[in-house]
Amino acid sequence: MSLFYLLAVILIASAIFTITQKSPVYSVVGLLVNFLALAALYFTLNAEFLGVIQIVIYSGAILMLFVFVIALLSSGVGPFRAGPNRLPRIAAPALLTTLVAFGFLIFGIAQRPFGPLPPHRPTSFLGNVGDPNVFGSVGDFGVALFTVQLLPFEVTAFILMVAVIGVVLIAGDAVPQPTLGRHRPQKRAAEREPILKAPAP
Amino acid sequence: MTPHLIVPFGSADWAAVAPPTVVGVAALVVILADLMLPRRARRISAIAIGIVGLIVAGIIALQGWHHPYVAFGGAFIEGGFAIVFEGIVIVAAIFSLCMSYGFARDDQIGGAIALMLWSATGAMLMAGAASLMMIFLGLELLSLALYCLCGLAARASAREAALKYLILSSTASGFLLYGMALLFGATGSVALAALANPPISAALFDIGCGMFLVGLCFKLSLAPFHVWTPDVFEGAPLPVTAFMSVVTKAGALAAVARFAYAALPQRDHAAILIPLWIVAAISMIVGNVGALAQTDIKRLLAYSGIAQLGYIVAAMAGTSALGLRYAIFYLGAYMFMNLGAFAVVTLLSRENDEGSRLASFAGLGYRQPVLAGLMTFFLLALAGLPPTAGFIGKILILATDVNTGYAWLAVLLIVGTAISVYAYFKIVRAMYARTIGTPVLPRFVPASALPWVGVALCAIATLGLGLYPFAPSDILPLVR
Amino acid sequence: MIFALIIAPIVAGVLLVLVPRSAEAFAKWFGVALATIVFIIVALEPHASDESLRWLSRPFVANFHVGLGGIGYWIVLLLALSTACALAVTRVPRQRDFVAQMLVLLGAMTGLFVARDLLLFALFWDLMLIPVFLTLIAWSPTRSTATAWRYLVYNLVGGLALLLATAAYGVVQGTTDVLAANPSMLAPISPAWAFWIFLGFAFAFLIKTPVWPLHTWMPLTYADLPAPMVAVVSAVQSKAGLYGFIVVTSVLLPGPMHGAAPAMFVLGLIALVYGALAALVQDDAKRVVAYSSLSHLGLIVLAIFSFNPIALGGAVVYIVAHGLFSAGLFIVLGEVERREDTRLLSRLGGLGARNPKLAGGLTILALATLGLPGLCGFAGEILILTGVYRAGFVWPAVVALIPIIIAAAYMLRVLQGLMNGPEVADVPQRRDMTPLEMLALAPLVIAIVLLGVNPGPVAASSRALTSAATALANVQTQSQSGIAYCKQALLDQRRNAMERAQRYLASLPRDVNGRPIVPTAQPATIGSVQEPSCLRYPDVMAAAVKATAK
Repeated sequence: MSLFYLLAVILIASAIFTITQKSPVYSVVGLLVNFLALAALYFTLNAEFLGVIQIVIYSGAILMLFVFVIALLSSGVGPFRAGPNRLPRIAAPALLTTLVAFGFLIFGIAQRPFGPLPPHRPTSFLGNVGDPNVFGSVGDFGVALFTVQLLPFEVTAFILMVAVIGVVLIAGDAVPQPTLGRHRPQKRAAEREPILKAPAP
Repeated sequence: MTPHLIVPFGSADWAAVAPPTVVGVAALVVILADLMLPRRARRISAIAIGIVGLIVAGIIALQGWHHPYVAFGGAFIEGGFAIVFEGIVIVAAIFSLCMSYGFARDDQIGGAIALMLWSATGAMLMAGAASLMMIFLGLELLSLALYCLCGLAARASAREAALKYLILSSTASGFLLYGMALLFGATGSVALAALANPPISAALFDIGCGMFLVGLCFKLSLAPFHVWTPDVFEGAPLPVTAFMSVVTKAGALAAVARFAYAALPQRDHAAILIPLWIVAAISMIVGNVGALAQTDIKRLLAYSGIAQLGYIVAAMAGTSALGLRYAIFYLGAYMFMNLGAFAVVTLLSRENDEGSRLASFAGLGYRQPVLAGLMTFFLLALAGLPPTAGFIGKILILATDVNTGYAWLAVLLIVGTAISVYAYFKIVRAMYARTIGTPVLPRFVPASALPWVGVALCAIATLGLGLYPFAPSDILPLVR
Repeated sequence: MIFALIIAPIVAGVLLVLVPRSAEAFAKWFGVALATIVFIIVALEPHASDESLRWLSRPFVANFHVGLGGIGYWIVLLLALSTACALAVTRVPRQRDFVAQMLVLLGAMTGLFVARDLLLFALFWDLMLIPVFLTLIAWSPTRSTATAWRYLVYNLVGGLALLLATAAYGVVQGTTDVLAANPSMLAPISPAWAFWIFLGFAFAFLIKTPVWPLHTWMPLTYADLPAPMVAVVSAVQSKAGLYGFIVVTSVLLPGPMHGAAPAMFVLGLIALVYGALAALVQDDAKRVVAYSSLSHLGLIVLAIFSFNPIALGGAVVYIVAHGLFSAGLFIVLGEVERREDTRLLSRLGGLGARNPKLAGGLTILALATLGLPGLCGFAGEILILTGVYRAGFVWPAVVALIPIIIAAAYMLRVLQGLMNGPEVADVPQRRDMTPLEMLALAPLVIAIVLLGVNPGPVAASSRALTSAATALANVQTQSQSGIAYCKQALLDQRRNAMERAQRYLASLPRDVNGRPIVPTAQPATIGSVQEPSCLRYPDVMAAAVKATAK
């Protein structure tokens, strides 16, 4: 229990540290501590899988990505030049490959040994909270991901794709400086003129 | 551990999530078409594909009206309740697409339309979501696409709106998620129906409920969680604002309704939800008072939306079956009158000016009598005056509140309406007052006739729903 | 047919936007023709049967139920007549749009007075505000919109109170299709509910009438509206509140209506005296007429709350009479203003010498206003005073006499100030009334004389309301379908009760046999919000309990 409180304090302190630093690199270091403490918390709860994932993906990959982005942004790399449009040339093979892959997918689904689940399960499929044998272990996590939690899993994948496309779309143009604080509409010369003139008699 | 994996779901499960899937796939088609087609055909093709996809999704959804199905082990329930909300999302998305012709740059339009469709997908997933996890994921899909859409306009205020929306909305998501975690801790399940089981700890359950509702109230922009709404509405591009004003709220309302009607244990039902009704009451007053001072139509409609959502939530007070029907009816009515007003603003838009300032309405009654007349009609509807759907919707809500013993909510609704009249009629005054002289603005030609179609359909629907208040009846049995 | 009377003017008004803006004369004569047609149709069909279409079945029954009988018949006639006359003399800028507003107003007010469903009544109550508001904004002489706001805020607050009361009444009664129903067939309403519902209705009606101290919107509105519209508004729209008291509250909520009588007497007397005194000192001729209206309508409030059949008959006669002469007065004052560019008594004078026909018209109308025997004002006043006196209210009857005497003073002051005396040099003299304008005023003058000579039919139209017994006879003779409606309404109500009962039972604890334990009603909760209304139907409850046990 005391371990929990220790980790909790570290979590909160590192989170505050992250958002109060001026330098982004310091913030990333704060975030690293935060992620590690969270992973430790998972281990205390017997959720080894989540703990490992937390370290490998978050502390490892994502933080590395942050550092890269920070480095790129501060070095002032210009926008990429638009290359020649290769799409028309590759459209046909790409379409073919996609269709074949999609066909395989459909075929696989059609072969399924699926049966409908009884419509509703009011209690947790995973078992009771705190039971170390069923809750949070790698096997159960995987099973759950592809059975009861299949739809959430798919939707999550979808969300990640949407996020990527959205970021590409936003980043695709010259970024005007965002102004924080209350919005004042920029007055253009044309707007400053009164729309309506000369009150009628 | 398990020797071989059996996916326990069949085609019926996938068919149940077909409507959101179709919309999501339509968005992918939009992006592909955007890459393939020549530049000048992009706008119209993106909008056309989007509308076709939405209509197909709607038709598919209607097939399930008489065949409710609990899909994916209770993660998603397709049936009357979900279909009604999916229908509202689809119609709102279609109208928003109609307004999107002049929106964004040529090279962004495909992505923008796709994001709008994905956002609609998220809302449709929320409509059928029956587990806490699906509610959260649907909400995130909905919001994530909207953050990007808000930032699309090439002006600083749009970026600001996007950032503001992102930060505040993430905070709300944090509340929501924390509340869900507590609910899970208290009941051991993420299925909404399982929340009706006796919780391990009542205190944990109550706190979880509270945080969950706070998160959803933020998305519904109910006061006092509404502060972000006007700024974001003002900064976001017009079609996005129109879309957001209905679709976000429809999705969140579906979650709130399902939670209130299906998930809460019957015994302390009334007590747990009382704060929600109080929040609704505050929204009615705060929203309408806030609308008084606005000179930007988008801000005004943002405050108006806060109040209208207050009315809708108030309809569910006492969680009676009729109340749910009337909440949905009013949501539909609100969609038409609100989107109609937005479509009129779209028609007033010009290059570099969204036509949302009060000044661009000055003398409209003499410049464009038809448009001004329609705008007046939509404003009458928002104010709840006859002969519109807003009028009959308010009557139905008043009657339900009186019937379920929440007469105080009915009285506050009347007070709020009385306040709102000034806000709405301020625009009417601007359109017809003679204090403004002869207009020198050129007659503008809108870029496309699509918003006119939207305006006309919204007007017909607002009038028609007022005369024949149709509210689907067999919804409630399908909530669970 | 009756639906067409409502819808045709509204649709015509909306579609006038499609006519070219320059077609001013066409718009005007189109409006006159439409109002005349409405008048003729109504006049030819005094016994038109009710028409009804389904509207709501839950949470209470409401129908698009309209009928032409009773008091409403005379008021619709008055409305169509005054609209036709007012439109005939219309000459305002942007005439097409103005005629459109007048037509929408005509349709909305026709709807109000033929509505036989409370919810429909509330709908038209709110709808008729909008054209007046738009006119105040777009045709206000001062370019300030303060008057328009005041008009809208006062009347809409009243309208919203009406709406809330209607919804509450619908929930309690189970239906709002009650204005043509036999009162004895309606379920009694518990006193607590009746009190609050009456409060909502009375608030709306008092603002609309108006009575002191809720009257401040009225003189401003009357002064700022263009003459043709103010003629219609003062003639008909201001009667909506009184009409509501007569056909809505006195029938549906007799208990609180009687309870409120003393307060209403005080308010009516104050309006009566205050209006007369204020009219004496106004300089603006339109405001004189506006304050005189306040005074006259106070008299009608007295008549309604004396609950005497004679007084009630007088009230109806006076409602129509006041409509006739105030419409005429405002039309004439509009003519004066158009000729002289002012309507201030201090600046005008001596018009009669050059404009004898105008002076003649004003004289007849002024005489009708001050209650000259033989004209309609007298007929109403004498019936009201007699009735109030017979009902035992001696002192109010005596007090009510004083303003009638003052009326002579202020009307003669207007006549004197405008028509007699030396000609004022700085006022341009224009031509007298054209034949067309006389033709527009003639129907009103003829009606004033006719009503003054024979008020019988109009007074009789209120008789149906004076007792439940005659109301029953009225329903039977007026429309065969009336009883069918009542029955249907009661059946619907029972069905609602069954639903409520089942919901209520589901919330109760169960005993060992699985039957719900129904608590016996506590006297304290009867009529309060806590009392489930289904308990009022014991047989329904028993059936529901039986069904639940199964």
